Amino acid sequence: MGDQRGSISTWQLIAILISSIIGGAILTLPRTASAELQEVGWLGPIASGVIAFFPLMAMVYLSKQYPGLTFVEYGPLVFGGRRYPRLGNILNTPWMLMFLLFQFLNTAMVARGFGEIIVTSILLDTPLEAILLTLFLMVLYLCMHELEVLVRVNELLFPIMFVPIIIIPYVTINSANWENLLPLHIDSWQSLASTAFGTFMLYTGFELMMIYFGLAMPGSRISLVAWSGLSFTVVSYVLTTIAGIVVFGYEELQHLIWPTLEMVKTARRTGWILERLEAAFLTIWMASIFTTFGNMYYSMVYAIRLWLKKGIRFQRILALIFFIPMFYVSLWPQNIVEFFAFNEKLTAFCYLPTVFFPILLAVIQAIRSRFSQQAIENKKGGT
Amino acid sequence: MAKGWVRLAVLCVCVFLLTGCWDRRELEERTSVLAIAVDMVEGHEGLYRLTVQIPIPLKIAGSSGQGGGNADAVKIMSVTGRTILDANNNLQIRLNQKLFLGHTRVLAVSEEVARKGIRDIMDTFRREPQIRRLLWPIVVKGEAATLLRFKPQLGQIPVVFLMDLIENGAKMGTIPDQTLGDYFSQTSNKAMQPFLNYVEASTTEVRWRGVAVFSDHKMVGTLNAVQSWSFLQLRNEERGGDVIIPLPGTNNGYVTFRPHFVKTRLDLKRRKNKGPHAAMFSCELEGDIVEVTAVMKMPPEEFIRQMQRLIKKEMDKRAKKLFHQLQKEYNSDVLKLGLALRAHHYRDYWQKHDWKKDFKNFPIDVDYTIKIRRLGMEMQ
Repeated sequence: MGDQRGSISTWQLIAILISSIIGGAILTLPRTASAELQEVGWLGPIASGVIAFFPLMAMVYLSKQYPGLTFVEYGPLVFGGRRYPRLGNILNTPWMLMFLLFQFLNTAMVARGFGEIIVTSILLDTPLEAILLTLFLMVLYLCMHELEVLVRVNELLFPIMFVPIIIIPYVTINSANWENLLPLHIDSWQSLASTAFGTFMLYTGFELMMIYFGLAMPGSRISLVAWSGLSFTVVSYVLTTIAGIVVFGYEELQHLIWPTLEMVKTARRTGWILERLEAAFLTIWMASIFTTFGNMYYSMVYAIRLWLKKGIRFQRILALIFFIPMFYVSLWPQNIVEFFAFNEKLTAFCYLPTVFFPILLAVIQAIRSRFSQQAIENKKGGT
Repeated sequence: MAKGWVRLAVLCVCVFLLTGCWDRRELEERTSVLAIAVDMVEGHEGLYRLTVQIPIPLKIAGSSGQGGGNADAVKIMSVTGRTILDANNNLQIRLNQKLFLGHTRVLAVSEEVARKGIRDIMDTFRREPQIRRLLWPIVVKGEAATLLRFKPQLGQIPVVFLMDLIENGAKMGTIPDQTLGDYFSQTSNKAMQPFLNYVEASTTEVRWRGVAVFSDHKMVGTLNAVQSWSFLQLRNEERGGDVIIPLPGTNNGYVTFRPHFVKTRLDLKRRKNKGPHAAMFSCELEGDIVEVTAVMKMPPEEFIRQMQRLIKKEMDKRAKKLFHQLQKEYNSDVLKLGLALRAHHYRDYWQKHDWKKDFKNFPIDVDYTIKIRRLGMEMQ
């Protein structure tokens, strides 16, 4: 193992970060963001982006402190220091498990969401299981390979992500009613906070950087990755939300189960080759959901591999083993209402492994480095 | 070993991916519905009659070469049901292929149904993913099915004829391009009310009659063509149709003004920042004189000035009548005034008033500015 470490470039890191974050949630975003905030729904993704900013910065800090190490390796070091590796391991284990559990559940729900979209809007008679199975098999195939394949897949599919983000506002501008965005009012800060916390799931995927920052090429600009990745995502989310509100108005958005898809369906431009744009868009979203799903699944398996210090064969077998429970969990919610309810619960849970954990590590590390610096200074003073 | 895994995975992927679509259905295995009409069934409260128009591809392709007279290129079928889907299912059992609504372009609703309320009808169209938000719902005077049955001699398929009629009207700015999606958004929106196109059909003809005004899913009245044009100018900045006015002081003389460009501004000013809110539409029409049927003996400058005054007076009168109808008779804010009020006067007006009750007595005024630019190919 380890022969492919230190091979991810800055650009590839940006591609991984953005592809991991942007996934199926963008399809429901205009509705979830404007449910409470109404006309100013676009503030929602900005506010939840602010929440995501702190753990991301914590990860950057940690990766600078421990260059070339993933959280699997630096976690015990932070908790226990170099002197007590056993203690560090014990303290790190529950967090590790929590992280893996979250990845597991979130991956399953990303897949389920993707399946739901396909089943409700295009392939009405196809069993959900069949759609999930094809997606799972694709990702399983991805997991059979070393890291470079994942990185290359992300890099390859990344440019596609730009297409909807640029085109959605463009195609919808025809049917836009700008007065839907006004008035600019926040009736209660509470609703802003609850929207921010409720839509935070939009940004999950950034926590994978705890692994990939550690595998970056020496000298790659990690903070640039964090900044540009996060701002790109925030901008694309805000644009999508604004487009949704402008086209439908926030009241109508609450009626639509996949508002972004519906938005593309209303788009009408003379001279487009495709009469029905939504098919083209779904293909693009399929790619973006595939990268989200693939990255999460791969990272989960890869993290366990790193944790137990095993090789690629272990990773392959593990990917196969996880396949079955993952498939089972993705079919847990019995209907679309349960699916959304499950996602809400998952959102509440996600704060522990994705926000609290990296910040906790960073704080401990900051304290630790301060003390050790003091110790060095004390020694200097002594001699 | 690694290669073995890869092969196995590739095999699995191929097995599952290369079987084709689950619900594959060839184009000719579908019965495409071009238009749907919804009527009440006489004597049966709560029953709907659904009429659909299905194109017959063979006849459409064949008739052009052979010139086979006026053979029907479409099939019209009628069924009844308690709900739209019930009727739809009753229709399905009479057809050999699966019904496909993805190409439906027109949804005709009879005035009777519209006046009763179309919330329950629209539910199906909201849920069905095949339905396009771009289809045109239309209110038909009398029986909605006549709109599907009429035989336009200028075209083979009645719905295509109707679509062209609306599309061209929308391009010229005389007919509103009001789609199903617009209707949905407008009914959801608390600050405005929806409207739909209103047409009349006979056995050989179809005619645009103006717009049907709705209030909470229920049709409450109609605006005739002339008023609809004023309405379009104020709401959508569409140009509307020609304005034909009798010339004063002449015997049967008329002048026709054709607007080309419309600019509308809505001011919601309070008088001296204190008084009650009031709406003021400022509408600027730029256009040409295209017809004068009497000899006017006056200098051209004077002619232009007089015509502008005349047209302004007429347009103001039309708009006032429109406001009166919308406010006093229909009590329906199709002008989107509420939206503007909510957007710009949220704290000082919207939160303190119940717009649905207030709209009726809200002061609305209009000020047209007419700018005649050209006189056609004639000097005066």
